[in-house]
Amino acid sequence: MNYRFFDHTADVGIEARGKSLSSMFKSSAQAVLSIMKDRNRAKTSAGLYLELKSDRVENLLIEFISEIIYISEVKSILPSEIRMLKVKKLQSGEYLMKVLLETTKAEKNSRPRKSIKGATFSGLSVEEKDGSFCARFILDV
Amino acid sequence: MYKRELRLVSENLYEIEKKGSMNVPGRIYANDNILRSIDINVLSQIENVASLPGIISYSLAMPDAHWGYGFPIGGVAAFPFPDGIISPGGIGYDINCGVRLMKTGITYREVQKKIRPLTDKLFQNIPLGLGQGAIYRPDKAELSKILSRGAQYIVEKGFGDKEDLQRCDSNGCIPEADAEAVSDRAKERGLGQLGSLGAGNHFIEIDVVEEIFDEHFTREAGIFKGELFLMIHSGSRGLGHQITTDWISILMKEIRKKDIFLRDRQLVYTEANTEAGKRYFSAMNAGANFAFANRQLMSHKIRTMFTQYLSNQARVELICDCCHNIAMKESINGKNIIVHRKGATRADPKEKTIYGNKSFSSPVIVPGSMGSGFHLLSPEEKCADTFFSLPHGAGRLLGRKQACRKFKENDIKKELMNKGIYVKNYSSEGVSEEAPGAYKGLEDVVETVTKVGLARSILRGRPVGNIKG
Repeated sequence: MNYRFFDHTADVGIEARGKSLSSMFKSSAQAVLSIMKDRNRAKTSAGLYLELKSDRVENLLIEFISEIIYISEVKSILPSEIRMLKVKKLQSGEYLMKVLLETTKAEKNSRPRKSIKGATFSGLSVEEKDGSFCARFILDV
Repeated sequence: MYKRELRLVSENLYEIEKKGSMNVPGRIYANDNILRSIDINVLSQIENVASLPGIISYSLAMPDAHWGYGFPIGGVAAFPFPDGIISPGGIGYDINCGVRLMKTGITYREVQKKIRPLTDKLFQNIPLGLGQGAIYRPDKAELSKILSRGAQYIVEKGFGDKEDLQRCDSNGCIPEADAEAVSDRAKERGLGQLGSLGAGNHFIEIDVVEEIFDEHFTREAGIFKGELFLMIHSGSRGLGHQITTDWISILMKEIRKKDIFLRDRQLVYTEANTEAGKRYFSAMNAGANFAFANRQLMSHKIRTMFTQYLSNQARVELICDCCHNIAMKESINGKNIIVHRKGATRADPKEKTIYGNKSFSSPVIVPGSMGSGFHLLSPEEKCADTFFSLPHGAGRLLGRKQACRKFKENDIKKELMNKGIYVKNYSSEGVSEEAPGAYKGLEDVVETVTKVGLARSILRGRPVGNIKG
């Protein structure tokens, strides 16, 4: 576990780290999933593959979180584990993310920790220092 | 090190002087207790808002202000309209999150023993928590009508009466709404959530009128001491969240092209008179109409259940419905402005609502934590100083994590039960996060605004049942 929650009065602050961009994104995703994951885990499980592209690495993070919020609500599925996650910078300068998530069907007795309304740009940062990446972001809950 | 001087302007009102990139000074309303607990991040967010272009007079923070994203929660700012800016960061993800208060016409004493089973019944019958769950499921064409006409459409469908609309902010419908400016994704999220409470700090509360301060109002409105009240706190659900997500992304791309520096990127904005500004404004209003319709459906369902289950003598009537996450086009001193209120309620003493045979300034609900009930306030002339705004609640004192570390679900529920408050909850963490000790004192918030002359209290209620989403 390479993430921590930091105190925020109204919302949830997350700091996630990794040796590479992919592992930093993986830590970020794990932190988000730990909030959304069904505590009364349902039996049914499936996979969800996503491919996202953005011109900025920070925006890619926000788009990824926004995508799983949307999917979990509309398709009534809750992401539970990350099977695969890769982020790379393309020659065009854009960032490409490929992710495979394990999901469970949200049922009446599903109990995620909390509902995430949105991933905010407030205090959002992705930094690289001494070969290590760190992301800080705030979720509106 | 962050250091800011707060200059005392008058009792319970402090000013942050204009410095650096700030275009106007900041102002915060606080009594001594609130001032002692003020979060430095709130001051910093007041300054960020003060740096937005065209901001009029002051960047304001209500006494319940706490650290949010973009604007502080409890933040108010006005800009010229249509030649000024509009920012989703001054509204929040939950567009037109608001509170609705209803009277029942029956006394707590009559039904005291039925409060617990009633709370359980409401918990079972009102969709709450995460994801899908609705009282009413429109098709796509009908959803567009709801986005355009809000609670007015819902009442026409038989879920409520005309009086509900008369006592609702904007009569339950903001006309400048365009369903076409709302993405398919947002609509998809809204289709299965119309008439649902949601999660987080959203709640349904059963209260008792404990103290009356304005008998003239209560006599006309038919309110009496010991009367059972109902309160709903909810908003535009996933539809509103998605509208905000979509438009932040669109506006972020636009602002980057213009190479504009933002002290906080959540404060992304556009000029209200541009194509993007007009479309965002009408999408935001469509989200607001969804929220009006959402609260109307829940209140009608509760009204029906209440009469069927508790007492056929009950007459559940709306007292008011107040929005607290919204940007509204208003006119002050003959000038058109757009007032952003993020966690603040519109409160114009000139705006009237009829109760009995008389008209009164439209009242404002200020709910406290789940242990402290609410105040119903009447706005006063001095509200012009806050662009006609009042607080929206008690305001958080502790962070969610802090609250979870400090308070445990069972202890809180037991403590509240000992005070005669029965709590039914969806998430155990939610109870810890929303523990009474995690909030500022409601009485401090009310004392601050009444002493300054922004409002006076009509009555105070105490909770007896609470449902947490």
